Amino acid sequence: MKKIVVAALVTLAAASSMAAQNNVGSCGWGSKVFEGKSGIAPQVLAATTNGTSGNQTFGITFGTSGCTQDGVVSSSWRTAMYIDGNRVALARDAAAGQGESLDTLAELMGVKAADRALFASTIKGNFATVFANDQVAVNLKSVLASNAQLAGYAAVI
Amino acid sequence: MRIRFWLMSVLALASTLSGMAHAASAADTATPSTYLQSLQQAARQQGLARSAMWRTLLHYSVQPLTRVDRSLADDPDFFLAPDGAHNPEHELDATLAAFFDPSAHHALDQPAACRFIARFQWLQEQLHFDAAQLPTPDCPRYTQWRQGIKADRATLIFPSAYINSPASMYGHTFIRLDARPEPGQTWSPMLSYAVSYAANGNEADGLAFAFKGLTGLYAGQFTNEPYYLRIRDYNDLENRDIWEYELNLTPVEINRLLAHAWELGPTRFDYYFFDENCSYHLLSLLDAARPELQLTRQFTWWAIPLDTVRAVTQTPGLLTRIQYRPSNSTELRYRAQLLGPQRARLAQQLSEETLSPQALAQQEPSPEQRALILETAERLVSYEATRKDSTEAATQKQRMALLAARAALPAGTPITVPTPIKDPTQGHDTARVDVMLGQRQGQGLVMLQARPAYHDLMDPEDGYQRGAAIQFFNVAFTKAANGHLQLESFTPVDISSLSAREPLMASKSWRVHMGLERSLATRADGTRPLGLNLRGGPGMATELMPDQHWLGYAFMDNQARWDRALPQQPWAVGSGIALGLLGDVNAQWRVQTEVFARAYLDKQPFETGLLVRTRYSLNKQWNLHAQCETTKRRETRVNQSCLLGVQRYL
Repeated sequence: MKKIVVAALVTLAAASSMAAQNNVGSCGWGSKVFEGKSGIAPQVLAATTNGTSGNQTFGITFGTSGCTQDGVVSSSWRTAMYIDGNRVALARDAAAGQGESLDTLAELMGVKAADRALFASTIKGNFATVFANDQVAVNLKSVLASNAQLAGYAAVI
Repeated sequence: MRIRFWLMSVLALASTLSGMAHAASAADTATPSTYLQSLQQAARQQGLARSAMWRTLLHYSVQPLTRVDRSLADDPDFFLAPDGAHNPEHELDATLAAFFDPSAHHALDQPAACRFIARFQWLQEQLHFDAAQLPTPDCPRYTQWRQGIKADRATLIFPSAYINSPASMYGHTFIRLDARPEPGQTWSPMLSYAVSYAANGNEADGLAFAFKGLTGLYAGQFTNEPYYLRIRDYNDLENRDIWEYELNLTPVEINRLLAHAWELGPTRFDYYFFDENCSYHLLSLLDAARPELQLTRQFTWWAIPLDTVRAVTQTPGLLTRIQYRPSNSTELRYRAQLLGPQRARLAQQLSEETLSPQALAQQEPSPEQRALILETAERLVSYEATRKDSTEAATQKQRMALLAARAALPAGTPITVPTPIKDPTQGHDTARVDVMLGQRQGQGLVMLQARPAYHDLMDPEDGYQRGAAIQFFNVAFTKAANGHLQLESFTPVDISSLSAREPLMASKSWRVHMGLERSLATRADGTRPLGLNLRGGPGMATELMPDQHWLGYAFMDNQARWDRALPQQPWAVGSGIALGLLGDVNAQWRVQTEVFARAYLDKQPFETGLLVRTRYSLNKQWNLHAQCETTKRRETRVNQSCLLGVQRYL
């Protein structure tokens, strides 16, 4: 699983248990591209710019990268990074309409208990839209925004 | 050890009391240098440099062969004294001195008191720093990090071994830190942070990885990242089940653990596969959290991850809960089982794109079953992609189409893979010693065998992966009735991977054996010289019964042999076939039988043989074991032996 990301070799050694930790901050390059632009969408775009395969590592170590400081994800990135880094499991849960990844997303976005069933069924019902391309976070934002009861949560992403 | 520790505690307590008096009596008007001297003196009086905690924080360890006492850290920036790596007293004095210097010239642009925050906190506790003369520094960078990692509970994580990936052969361990949720809130462990130590290399090639790992050519590094990334790596990309062992560390202990993790973050350690590996260094974090655990002390020669997990879980009162996260391949297997062969075939056709999701409805009327078939197909596509090392992007479209079809069907009830009855720590201990009596070529024989690690096909399977055997440094000594004790064989590596064929998943079986062993033939003087034997090859295995108690297998049986009993032609290279059967008569009793036939180059004699082994478990520690083997070269029987004895796990 190797892929070149602008002068950074991102390798996920298939063998690795005690192996391969590569330290390429996924936000490092992406966030530079959108530097100077504010707002959520560019940030989310940045998170997904070099995450098209979804299998890049965020290889976080002690030090600073675009969206992490010493391995801790900055709050504005948490949701975007979770969506980007967890796409496979999230798609599975979204299709089934339930599961830990989906519950975790709801928790991360602060979805109230009363709204959680609707949150899950809305994502399931709009699966093809949300997972139409790599911009999962952006798509999710627009799907939530077009639902009267869930529109408030769109701002969180 | 316990008594010594108790004595040390008493001494430490006594000296703490005198030291307190001493530190308190330091004149208020003292200059920094005299205050420093008084602290250094108090530390000496209390014997702090020799204490378990100081040794843990600096990673001092006595090398078992050379008896040299030095730190395992291989980073000069980790020490403040020039000879700090092997002098705990000098390092402690230099550390205290560095605390008086607020300039931020250490790793991550910090003053010494922040760069070495665990040292500072511990020494502050022991020596009761006078805030007027040695103020507690602001450490904004540490504080931000520490607040970012919500940690009220610690869980030891063990992604179990996956034999077909050499680098993961025997697992990995790291620590996850979980928050205790606010009342009325939830806390998903997926959002927890995982602190891990790993070799900082990216060799996908197992051999290069093994070589560098054995020789310390990798730098090891501590990292932390959200747990969901780890789940993805192990469960989805490497198809390894994850076991989670929640520990009852207190918040104070977790603070100590994290403070020490902070010190280790920018510190380089040379990584050694067997002893200074991920699991060994992780234990040092637990030792820093609770110094009386003394976990690293239990691992002098090698630290096998499973054994380190066991050391933790068997510490009285440390383990609170065990949880299991099945890998994608486990999920896939379970779903295929739920579907049954006919519906599993539909999932396979979907994954091969010989059946479209739209056409599935004509084949399968039930929406619940269709949903399960589609989910299974998507997992199968993912699994195949990871096996072929292709990127997820390549299969993204196909997977999303399958899941979109799944999303159009009702949610249904969630599917949960049952947790195995035995977790890995409940299996047999990894070291084993055998004592066997019997005969060889009609002569009485005693055999002693020792295996440091790890698991053999004859060992009880509970907690281990079925069909996966891996042994390192197996050594056997024999004494014949008319001879003296001699080395019979030394086998650094012996691996067998029997992956039974299954409906949806390809399975590779292979084995490799290399080592020194005595010749089968006897020289004119009656001795059997030591030679080399390298054997192995690809194969296949199949479950013969639905209850998975009988496994049949076949291997291509290649061999290269160096045998000094045949001076005209010591080298022999041959190939053949081996057929075998591995079965459990009942829970205690296992038998294995194998026949082989090999032809050699250079007109060397054709070789055939038969091996029969049986093991009966008396309890978790003791087995009875018997084995008989016979080997013929052309028509001549060159070896016939039968041995019976006991085996003990340690």
